[in-house]
Amino acid sequence: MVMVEGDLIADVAFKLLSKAAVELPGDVMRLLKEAYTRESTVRGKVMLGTMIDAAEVARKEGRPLCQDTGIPMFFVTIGGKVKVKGDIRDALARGTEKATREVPLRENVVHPLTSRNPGTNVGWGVPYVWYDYKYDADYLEVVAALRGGGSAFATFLTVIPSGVPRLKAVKRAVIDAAARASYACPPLIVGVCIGGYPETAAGEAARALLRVPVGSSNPDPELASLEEELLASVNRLGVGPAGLGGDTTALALHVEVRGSHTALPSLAVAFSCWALRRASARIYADGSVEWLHPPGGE
Amino acid sequence: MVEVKLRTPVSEGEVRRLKVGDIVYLDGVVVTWRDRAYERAFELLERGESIPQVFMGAVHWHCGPIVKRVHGGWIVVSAGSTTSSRFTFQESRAIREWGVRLVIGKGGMGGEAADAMRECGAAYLETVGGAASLYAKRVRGVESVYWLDLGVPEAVWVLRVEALGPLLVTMDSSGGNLRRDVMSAVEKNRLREHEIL
Repeated sequence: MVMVEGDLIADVAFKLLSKAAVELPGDVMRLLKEAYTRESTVRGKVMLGTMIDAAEVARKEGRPLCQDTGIPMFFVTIGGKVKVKGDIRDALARGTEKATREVPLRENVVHPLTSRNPGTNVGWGVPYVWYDYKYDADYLEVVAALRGGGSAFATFLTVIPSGVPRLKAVKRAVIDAAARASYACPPLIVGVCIGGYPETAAGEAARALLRVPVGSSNPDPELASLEEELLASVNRLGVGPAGLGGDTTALALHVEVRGSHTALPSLAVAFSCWALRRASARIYADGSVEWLHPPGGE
Repeated sequence: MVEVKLRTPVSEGEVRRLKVGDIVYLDGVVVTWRDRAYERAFELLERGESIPQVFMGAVHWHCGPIVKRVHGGWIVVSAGSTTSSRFTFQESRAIREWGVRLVIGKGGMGGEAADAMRECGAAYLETVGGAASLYAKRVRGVESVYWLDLGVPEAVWVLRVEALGPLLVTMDSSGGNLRRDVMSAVEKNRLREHEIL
């Protein structure tokens, strides 16, 4: 078994953050362009056209697409057939510091009480890292995600109220949350987690935003049709691009279901602005790196 | 949609002619503001101290840019608006007391700010959120920076801009308010969806 070195993980983390900050993934761009073609309002078209232009400028000039590069978050899957030498967290933190300095990312991470800003985007448990394990995989997968504060602020969490049929209550709550999210820079990507405990549901809803490709359906046909129904409903709200009216309020809506406590059916709705920024790569046991989404090297 | 080119300083007459739905491209100087800078400014004024003259009558931009330090200066790499609703109180004071005529942001501001705009002659313009790469290209340089000890995003950046835009007028000085109109339509639609679903 070959070792994956911490320095390589740090370098991959740096490159993923660099990529995520400046390059709108191709699947997101495709949905944005389709929305531009479909949008029937003049103002909505101007807003969408400006977004597409901005994404092109960001990629060509290596400028962060949005000035709010969020709080760096990583989702790591450790394959059972690789051995890691060194501390994964520490490596991801080093990659984050370098990206903050060199991309640069905005120095967003501060102490919540004193507002002290170390200027590195590292500290007090940040970057956030979620770990998963896949016993038959011969790689270490790293997904980096950057989501701005405006999107995160719109997160909605509840225990599904009783008294109304449960599915109806879920649908209404999702629509209400989307109607309130006009400041989260629509067109939105909507992540929904039905079930789980409240604290895990919120995390799973945010994770649902990262489904690849964006806009693909849940493999369960019933959930796929719920996704379709809710997306159509959100797009009839009239919030529109940038929240200034129009046909395009959401680009995609992803639903996940998690086992729920019988007395506590949770529901969480998370949002991403149109600038869904994520990048992922696999580091194989032989030290080679495969760049997944978006593809391509540096 | 009417396109309007403006240059700072902007007169009351020019601002009063702006109407909701107009698209503005702005030349001149704008000053960035966020939560901590407003806190400091109002604390200083409370204590009877002064704030820099350049803040008076300025165009305010609710923005915490990404800025790169290069030898002897700064480059604005990415600059877009932050959510303005949390500055309603601060802007209504700034419009009344500091002579602010244009406020740039996103997401709209509350009634107090709308009242100040109508009474004093000011307008609120929105950038397209998330399109910060595009707006940063229109920043020609950093004139000065104040209160850097608050951190790069929270500091006050005085920026020279050229054709900064598109900026959509969403609150004007005659009480027009595009977001209020959109949100009241959304509320009707939301209730209709409750029935359909």
